Amino acid sequence: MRGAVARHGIVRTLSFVWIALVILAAIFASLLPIPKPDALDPFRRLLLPGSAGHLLGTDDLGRDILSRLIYGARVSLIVGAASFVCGLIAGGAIGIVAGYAKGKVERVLMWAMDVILSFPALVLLIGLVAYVGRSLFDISAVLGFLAIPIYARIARAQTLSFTERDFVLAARASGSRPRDILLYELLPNVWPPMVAYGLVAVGLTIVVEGSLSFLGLSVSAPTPSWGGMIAGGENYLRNDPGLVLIPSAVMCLTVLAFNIAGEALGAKTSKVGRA
Amino acid sequence: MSGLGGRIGRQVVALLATLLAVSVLSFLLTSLLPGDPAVAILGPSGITQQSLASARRALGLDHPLVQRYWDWLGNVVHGNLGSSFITHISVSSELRQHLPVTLELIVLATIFSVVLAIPFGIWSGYRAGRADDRIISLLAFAGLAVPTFVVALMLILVCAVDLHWLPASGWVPLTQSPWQNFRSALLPALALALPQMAVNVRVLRSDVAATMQSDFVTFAVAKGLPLRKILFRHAFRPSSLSFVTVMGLQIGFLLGGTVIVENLFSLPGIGQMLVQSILSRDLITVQGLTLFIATGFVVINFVVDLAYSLIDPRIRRGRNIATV
Repeated sequence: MRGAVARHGIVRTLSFVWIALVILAAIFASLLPIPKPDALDPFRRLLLPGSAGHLLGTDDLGRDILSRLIYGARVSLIVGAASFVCGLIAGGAIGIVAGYAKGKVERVLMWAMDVILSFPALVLLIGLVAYVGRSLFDISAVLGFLAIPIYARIARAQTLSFTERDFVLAARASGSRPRDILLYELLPNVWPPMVAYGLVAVGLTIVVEGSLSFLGLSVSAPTPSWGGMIAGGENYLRNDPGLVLIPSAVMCLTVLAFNIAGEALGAKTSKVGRA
Repeated sequence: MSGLGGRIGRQVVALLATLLAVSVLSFLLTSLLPGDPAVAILGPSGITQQSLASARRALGLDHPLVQRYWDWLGNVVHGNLGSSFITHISVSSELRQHLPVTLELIVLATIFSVVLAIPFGIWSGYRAGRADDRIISLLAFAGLAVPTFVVALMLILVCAVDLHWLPASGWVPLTQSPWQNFRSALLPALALALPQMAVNVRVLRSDVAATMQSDFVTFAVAKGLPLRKILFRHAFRPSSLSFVTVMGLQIGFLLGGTVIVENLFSLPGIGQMLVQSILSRDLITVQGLTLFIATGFVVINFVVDLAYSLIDPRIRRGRNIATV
């Protein structure tokens, strides 16, 4: 089952192409020949996709939808990247140390991770955001923090499966310092499955940020975000469903692409592990 | 059985430790992070040196942190989550009013997500590798990428806006009219259930596909039993246990999902209460709700774990051997 979808070469290629496209568009948004995301065009409100000058139409205030999608991608990608980096570095460090040290250190560290996981993620997120704030930095920090426990679990499980392997025992017997064993023997084997999970987690983070934006609890109004666009189109569902459908489709495609990329990588790394 | 008893005892200790940590975290949310509750109560206009000091005294904010935690915990244990700074209504009584809506949504969504997943999961596992399995698997995989609020908006678009089958928002209490209540709960519960259904189909499919390889299924086929009997009695029953494992996780997602769905469909549940209290910066209510939801989630997971080890004798025995 694992990698069943990702095994189709075209699907996988398309996913990576889509991810690259979204990232490039978000980075070079200001160079693209599109209107500014907050430029109002009051006489050309609610244009349908394909209108002159507005490829995907305009929203209820006459703002260009394509432009808002591209600038909105920045929010989604930044929170995704923040959770990826925090999870990989902090979660990875905690997991490797816990898996290698075992005993009390392991129990305390993993218990702390379990406590964070014992809050339903979206509820804890909403609670934290209420106190910390809603700037892009705040949201990224909170999502990054919440990403740590699962990465830590993966890193620990992976570390445990390697601590008794010959090359680790050999390094230990030859008197390598624990720091060197962690960095040079364990880390190279621990990170591949974390990256594979990380890609899926980026998709998950985009969904979570989208939900938060949709509720009006993420970055505030002038900054475009996919969830915010979907929420803004809700009132026009009857006559202009495109305002909801277009950003929804972009969001789902992006999340799907990250899921497929993660599965593809996961299938590959587990094959390498087996060989 | 003594091994099982010891295991349950250890689980209870872990449960209590986790609950204590959850309560400390919830307490610290309002106590350590920036923003003085006394300022929040008085509002920006009513602050003077004197009023601030007396408000802080009234809230017990002049006591040391540890004492405040114990006082607060004592109240919480007695079911008193404090009163909102803004409406001055007791958080626990408001919680009691909102809870039935959320519980009903979660129960309905769980039933839908399991019942709808069973035929697809079993068929897909039975036909593993064939075209129909591929299509079901692909759809389930794609379903994982669709957020709850998008599913909800699509359901509103099709069932409420286009077809006028069901109301797009609002809530009719069960006590008022069971039928109208079901109609008002149907779309939100489906929106919650569909993403979970995708997860369940995937779990069930891989389980059934594995079970179909086992000897007793081959034997049942050789005996000439009808397909329906083989699929449900032989293949599904041992696989159904895996539902129990994902159930705990699922309830966490559903609790998050109800926050979205209740706000989208304007349903008076605790998810709506949570978002409203955040928007009005009603921190005591946020604290009480987070504590309540997290406690509920931890306890449910504990019960699921326990039920799982009681239902499946393999696990019970396996753990006993491990603990000897």
